[in-house]
Amino acid sequence: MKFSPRISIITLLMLGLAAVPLIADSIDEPFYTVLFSRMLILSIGAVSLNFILGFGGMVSFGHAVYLGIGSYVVGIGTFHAVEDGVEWLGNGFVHMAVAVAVSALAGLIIGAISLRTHGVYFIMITLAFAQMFYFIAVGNENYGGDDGLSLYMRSDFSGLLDLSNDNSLYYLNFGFLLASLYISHRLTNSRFGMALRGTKSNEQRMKSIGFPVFRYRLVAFVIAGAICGLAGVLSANQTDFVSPAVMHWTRSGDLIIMTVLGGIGTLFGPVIGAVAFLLLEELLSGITRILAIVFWSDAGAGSNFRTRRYRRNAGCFGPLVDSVFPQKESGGRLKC
Amino acid sequence: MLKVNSLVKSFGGLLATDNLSFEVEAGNIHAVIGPNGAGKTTLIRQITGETKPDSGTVIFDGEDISDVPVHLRSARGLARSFQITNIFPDMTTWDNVALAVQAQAGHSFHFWKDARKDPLLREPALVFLEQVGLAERADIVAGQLSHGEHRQLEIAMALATRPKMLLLDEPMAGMGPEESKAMVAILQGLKRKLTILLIEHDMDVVFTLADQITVLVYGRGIATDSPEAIRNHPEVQAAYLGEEEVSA
Repeated sequence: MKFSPRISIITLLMLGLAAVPLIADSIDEPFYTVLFSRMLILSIGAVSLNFILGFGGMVSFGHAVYLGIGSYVVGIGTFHAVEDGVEWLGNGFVHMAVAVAVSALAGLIIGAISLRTHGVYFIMITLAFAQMFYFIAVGNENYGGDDGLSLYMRSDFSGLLDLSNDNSLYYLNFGFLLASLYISHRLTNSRFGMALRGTKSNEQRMKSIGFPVFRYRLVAFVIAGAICGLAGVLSANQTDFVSPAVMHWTRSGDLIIMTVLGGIGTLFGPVIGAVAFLLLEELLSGITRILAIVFWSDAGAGSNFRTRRYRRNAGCFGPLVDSVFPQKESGGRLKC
Repeated sequence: MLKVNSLVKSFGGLLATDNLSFEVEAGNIHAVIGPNGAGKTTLIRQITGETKPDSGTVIFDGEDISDVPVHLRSARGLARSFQITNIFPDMTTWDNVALAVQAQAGHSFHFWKDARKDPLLREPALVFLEQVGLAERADIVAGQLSHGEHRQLEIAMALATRPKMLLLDEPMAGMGPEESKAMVAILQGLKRKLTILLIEHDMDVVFTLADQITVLVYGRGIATDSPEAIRNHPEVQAAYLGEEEVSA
């Protein structure tokens, strides 16, 4: 492999991601572990989308559906585990198996219908399916409907792994990201992957040399859905909360943006895209909060305003503000 | 190898194929010539099955394939190279041909082994690239090849589907003299290895390569004979070659 700036960035990124909980613990900012955990989860979703979008040319505008399915499997499972005392419904392995199975089945149904269309029609139909699932979740009052469902517990891996510890969850997410990258790498370079790339490059020619294009696309669509369903399981555990918003069409749009931002059709592109997207989201939304705190600090003058609450609000901007505007001993107001 | 029996095809009032019959013998290069609008491409489309004739039959390899759909005709060994370049532009030249080889190697639901390191695909692909003189360009992204090389790649891909017969629709179209010469050499290399039906405008090329020539004028086959006989055929001279001499 040739040395290039991209490869060094990817190496640094992956090493950095591996070290996040250690760094966060050492500077006593557990917030970062949670933030980067989200990045890992959405990276897995983006990697799965990239498999069909980047290599198969299928612009699915409903990919967040599988995040939703995975999340609701955990939400509904743990709900009954706690409410009705059905212990096995809280089991993490059960959650994953069911999420993969249901996502694959949903992928099969959505794909079998949408893949008969092309271009804009395909985008619209996948979007329509996603919204259908979204409104099913909204209408389901038993499980919180529009308001969503708070998790009473996280998936239980029966002593193997304690997910109530954010660091354990982080490394579970990291492991799944590595696995999904490896699987994506193997798949895209296999005979199946080459056929898939062919259908993206020149569908007509694929048919004329004798490939049943539809079948290959459908299988890829199902695989991508199953992987993204797993990301949904992790996502529910991460946020301790499940709501229809997970599979809102804007979430599907976010996944497309992440994939395109990092470079479609590349192995690590979706990871770069997801990290960049969520960092930007965090930084840009942080800016207004910081400005508010800095300029309105008169109002709260008199005491140390850099409380834990401030830190949570300031997000990753906290240390930056601390260094630019050092806290005064007297705790007085801040001059800008 | 291929037999066309009293084929008729009309588009509205225009008779594109007028009771046409001829036979292509195995191993031959059989050329079809004729002025513009003589119905050459319509003929090819009827042989591949893209256009359905009004009447008449197409016999391939001893079987009547008149009612066999397009993709099954190609499965029987009838390969076509397109007049417009039709390749996988964002893959390498080698990958293009390897994919055509893969198409012949059973289903592609193999999810794990690296296809780019699979000698069962790569080695035959390289042989086909050598046959069309593209082996040195194997690792170039196909979209970056020249026009002439695209045509060569087309033929390599057609060969990779292991056809019994190759239908070439103006393979030299848009080529410079050098590229054209290279293509003639490639086709000469394929002579006797498989049967070729060649549609071509360039008379020099046709008379260099062909074993048999069919002359089409307004959809009617006015003669099918050896190049020598065609050159001296009075009706052909009047209808086709003579016309060119006048205009030249």
